[in-house]
Amino acid sequence: MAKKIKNGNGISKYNRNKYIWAYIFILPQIIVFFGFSLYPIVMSYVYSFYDWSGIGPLTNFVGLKNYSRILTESSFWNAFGNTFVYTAGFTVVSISIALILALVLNNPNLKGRGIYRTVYFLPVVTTMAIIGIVMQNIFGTQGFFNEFLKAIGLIDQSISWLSNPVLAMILLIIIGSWKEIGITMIYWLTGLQMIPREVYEAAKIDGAGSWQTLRYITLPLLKPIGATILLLTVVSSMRVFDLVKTLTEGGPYFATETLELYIYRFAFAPDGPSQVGFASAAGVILGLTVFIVSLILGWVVYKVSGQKRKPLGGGIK
Amino acid sequence: MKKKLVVLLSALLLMMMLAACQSEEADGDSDEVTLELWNNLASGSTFFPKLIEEFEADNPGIKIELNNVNVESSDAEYQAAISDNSLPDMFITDAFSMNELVDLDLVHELNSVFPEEAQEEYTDGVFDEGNTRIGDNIYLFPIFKGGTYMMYYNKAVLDDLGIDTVPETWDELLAVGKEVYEKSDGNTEGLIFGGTSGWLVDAFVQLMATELSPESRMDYVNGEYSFNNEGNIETIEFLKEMLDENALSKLTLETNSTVAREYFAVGKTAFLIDGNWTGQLLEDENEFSDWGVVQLPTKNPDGKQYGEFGVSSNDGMFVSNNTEHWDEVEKFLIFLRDNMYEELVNVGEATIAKEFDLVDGEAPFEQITDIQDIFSTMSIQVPNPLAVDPDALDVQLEVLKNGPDSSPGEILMGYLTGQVSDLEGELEAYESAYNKAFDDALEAHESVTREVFQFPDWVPYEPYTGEDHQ
Repeated sequence: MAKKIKNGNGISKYNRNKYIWAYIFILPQIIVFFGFSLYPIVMSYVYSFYDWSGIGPLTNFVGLKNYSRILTESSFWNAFGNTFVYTAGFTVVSISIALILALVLNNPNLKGRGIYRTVYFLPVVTTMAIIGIVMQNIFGTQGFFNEFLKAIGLIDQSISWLSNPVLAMILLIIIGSWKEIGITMIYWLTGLQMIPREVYEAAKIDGAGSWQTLRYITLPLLKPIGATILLLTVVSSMRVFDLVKTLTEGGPYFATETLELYIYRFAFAPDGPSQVGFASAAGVILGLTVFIVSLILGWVVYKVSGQKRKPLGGGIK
Repeated sequence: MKKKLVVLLSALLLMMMLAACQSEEADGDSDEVTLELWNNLASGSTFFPKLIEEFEADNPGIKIELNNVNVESSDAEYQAAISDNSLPDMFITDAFSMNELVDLDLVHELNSVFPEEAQEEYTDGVFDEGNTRIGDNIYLFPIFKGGTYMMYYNKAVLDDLGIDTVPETWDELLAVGKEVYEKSDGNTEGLIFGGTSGWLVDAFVQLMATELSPESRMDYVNGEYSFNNEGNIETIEFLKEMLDENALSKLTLETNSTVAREYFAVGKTAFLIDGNWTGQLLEDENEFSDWGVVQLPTKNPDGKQYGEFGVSSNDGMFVSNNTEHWDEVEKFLIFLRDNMYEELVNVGEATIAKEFDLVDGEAPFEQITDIQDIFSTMSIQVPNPLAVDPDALDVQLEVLKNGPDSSPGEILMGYLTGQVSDLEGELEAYESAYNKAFDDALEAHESVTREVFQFPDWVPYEPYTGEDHQ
């Protein structure tokens, strides 16, 4: 009762109007969110309990049959494994190289920093599918890269980059990382520029060299943002699709098929009838996996951020 | 502030009303009926516009809106259209089988378009159960009568290298392939096919396997699936030998059928395996005419191969059950029935559903008769369980859904890249999983028995016609 009176009297007419308008303005976004994000997510859970081809009414309820089938499919576990291999490779390569680039480009004495940053950021604004198609031509058996290696005498015979299972996965990781390094570099640069200059000046006065500054000041202070970058990188790489679709199509012989491609294959490009129910179950498992990984990494972010704030704050005092 | 908002909202409302009035006015201005047609045939983008132009000239009140759908993304487009209840008036798709569409009451029957006398002008089997017909109703407008696969050769390449043998056997193909590679210092290779186009590899491996194992895929005598057989094993091992001996281009491992065709057309390879429609594409898209075509090589000089004659959903056109203009659609379909096949021949399509002799078209390239001959030899009617019991389709669909997630074609590609080492083991696992899915499907559909899939009087390489089914 007391709460009602407080609410009724606590908000002025002016403020109430402001709230109403605020809700009106966010209404389109809410509608879009419910229509295009929440509804498909909820429905994919529903579909996963049906044997459904993607058309017609949902009539054939199969309970957990799609899930039990997926968990016994070796092709699913192959795709699951490939996703984690790609994620691990992508995360290590993109985060480490982006950090090195950020450290170099954060140097105020470096001439043309802006140009370098732009150059490294360019792939980020390019469409992934286009990159996949272009790279397929470059790394094809008769592509530019093989011809280049032959011209400089490094190889006699063309290398089958895309039809060798190991090389194809390595290529995917390298190209995927190259595409995203620019944005990861920006994250690292943000982190670097958040470190107070006083800390570096104090270290310099104490006689710390470049390596010691990096080892004992820069890297520890980058840990909080580093944990966030790790979270974002891992989650985005687990959902890789367009690059794989255009560069390797999951081949050779499923060696680079990731979970998203696996889902796509069953839902939209099957050899037999479409299996949207089955693909939805695979999608739910992928969603849950990403969620669990996010939770774990979120906990890491929380821990790292929490631990680091205190000493930094204490130091400034 | 309040006044400004009221004015702003009123203006918006007025604009929306005006826009609505304008659109109604635009619609109301004309009595013209617009029919929508979604096409995913490569040659359709050439012959449909011409036919539509002729039809529209004869029928001023009817307009046909042609939408050439991208084959790669058409499944999703059709799923969305069906969910949204917005299927076009007419459509061509391989996303769904005729039975699926009929089961969901999504397609209109076309009996009035194909009376008995019209049906007689078509190739035998086109109007059989499961091809264009379910029960008493015809649902698929037959454009083609299926397809088959063959080997194209680049005459210019062979002439330049002084090779005058067009291989007919595996040994000859291997020998000529090696010769091409050696004589050109590796600049030109023997054979190529689109290895990443799973449908292509599956289909031609199946065809080649039937020489040694006519029961390959479906053993109609025993009513069970057969994959771990001599035909598949020897075919796959032969292609591996071709690769190891540089007679099969390594480009095969990373190219799809379109890119493989381009390599062939520019003289990177001497031979290409692809479907019967490739001749038309070589001429139209690659602007290459110096080619010939032969049947797929056989292991033995007198070896026979066969493919199952059958019209699939992508070989024809459906009419949406929701069309609001059936009369106009029917008019257009009758026009197509009487005029389309000539245009198809004119653009170089070889496997038209109508009897070729009854069509007055002029093919743009002479090799079309070779393609037709190969198709006639290779494409044979086989036992059709649906003719015995239409419910057999449910079993077939169930097997396709729950069968193993691979195929002999994919196993071949794995073998070529070295990822499959135990070929027989892999085929055996595939066959076992397929037959288990078949057993499970039969168990789930008690009304359909295994006998429906058994045809003890089937003679391989001989047509199994409607009379045989009786």
